[in-house]
Amino acid sequence: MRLAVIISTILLSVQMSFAAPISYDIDKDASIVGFTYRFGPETIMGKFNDYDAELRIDFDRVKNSTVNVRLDTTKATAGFPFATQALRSKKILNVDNFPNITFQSTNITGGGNTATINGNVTVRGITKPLTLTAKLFRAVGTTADERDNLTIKITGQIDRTEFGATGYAKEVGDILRIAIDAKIQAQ
Amino acid sequence: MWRNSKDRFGTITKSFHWVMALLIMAMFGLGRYMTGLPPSRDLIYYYGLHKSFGILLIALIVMRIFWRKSNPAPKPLGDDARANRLAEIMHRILYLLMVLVPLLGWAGSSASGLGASFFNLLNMPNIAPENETLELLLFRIHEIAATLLVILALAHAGAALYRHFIKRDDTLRRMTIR
Ligand code: HEM
Ligand code: HEM
Repeated sequence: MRLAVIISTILLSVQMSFAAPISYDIDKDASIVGFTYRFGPETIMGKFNDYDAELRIDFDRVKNSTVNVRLDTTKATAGFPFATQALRSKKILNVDNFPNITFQSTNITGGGNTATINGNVTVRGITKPLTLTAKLFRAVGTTADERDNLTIKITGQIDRTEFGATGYAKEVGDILRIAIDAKIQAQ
Repeated sequence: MWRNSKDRFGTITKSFHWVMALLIMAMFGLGRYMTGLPPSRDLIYYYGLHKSFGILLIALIVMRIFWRKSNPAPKPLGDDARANRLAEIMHRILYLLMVLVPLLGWAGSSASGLGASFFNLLNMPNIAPENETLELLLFRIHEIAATLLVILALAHAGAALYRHFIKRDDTLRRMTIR
């Protein structure tokens, strides 16, 4: 996964002035921790409505950056009634026994425009490696050295069958696409 | 008029009878139809509709049984004691199945982990633990009981038509207009 910092080339020279990694808070009201899945012929979007994240970005040495996320499965929604119940039920996330999904980065590479986040994800108590791609954006009108308010978009995909989340296999596709779009503020 | 008298059915009993007869037949068709659909949003919609009308039927059968308890049915017509005894047994079985079929649907929905809601307005409590084996079993019995209910209701309707057209008594008429 890549952390693409969509910032002008002018910025790259400025980067040297940021010595330490920056910790960010997520503005939850303006962010979506989403995923899409196939339901028959349709693609439907679900969301994790409650989560915590620790995000530290080292713009100089990207590999010093870290991402740790905890998603609250009990608040997850799957786009419409019944699908939400199905998502939370024993057949898929089994939220009574596994109220969290966690992700810890192990190695972040990239820089310039993109970054790849390698890490471990734990779903239903099963931990597997997961690779995500991240891109950073700054708002129109900000200058190239903007660091305080950014948007991070994270994508990737996950095969739910690897975690035993196999319910409704006839109706719902195995592969889920991760679509995180978060507004972040430097602490 | 509203209540049953000693020789005719009142408006309330008739309304329960015909509204529920219609709903049950429609629910049977809907149940068969929806379980054959490919996955899509329509499928979810029809399942929701089936569950919602099913819950309505649970409410109706409870009220109907209370009404029946405080409102004895008129005496059966004709002097064929055996046929009348058979009709009474049939009515009891129909009442039993009108309770069991939707209860099994509700229990199966509980066991599936999806639950049931009444038109997304009221979420029903779960009446069975979440368990896939139990779910499959309950839905299997739901299907068998629903099929039995419809077959017996058709036989019952056949008997009513027999009395009306062959024996030419007032049985059907007093459940309808008179
Ligand atoms: C008198 C009322 C009802 C009738 C006549 C009825 C009839 C049926 C029938 C014929 C089927 C199809 C079975 C098959 O072919 O696989 C079915 C399935 C189903 N019914 Fe009902 N039903 C009733 C009430 C309910 C209620 C109250 C609920 C839930 C609250 C419910 C939930 C379901 C569900 C979820 C299925 C699908 C089961 C599956 O996926 O295999 N039903 N019903
Ligand atoms: C799902 C469909 C149906 C169900 C569940 C059903 C159920 C019942 C029940 C439980 C009774 C007894 C009422 C009581 O004594 O409290 C009854 C009576 C009656 N039903 Fe139905 N019924 C259905 C459809 C029909 C149809 C289609 C007809 C006509 C063609 C019909 C004709 C009658 C008649 C004439 C009576 C009165 C019998 C008497 O005088 O004792 N029913 N029905």
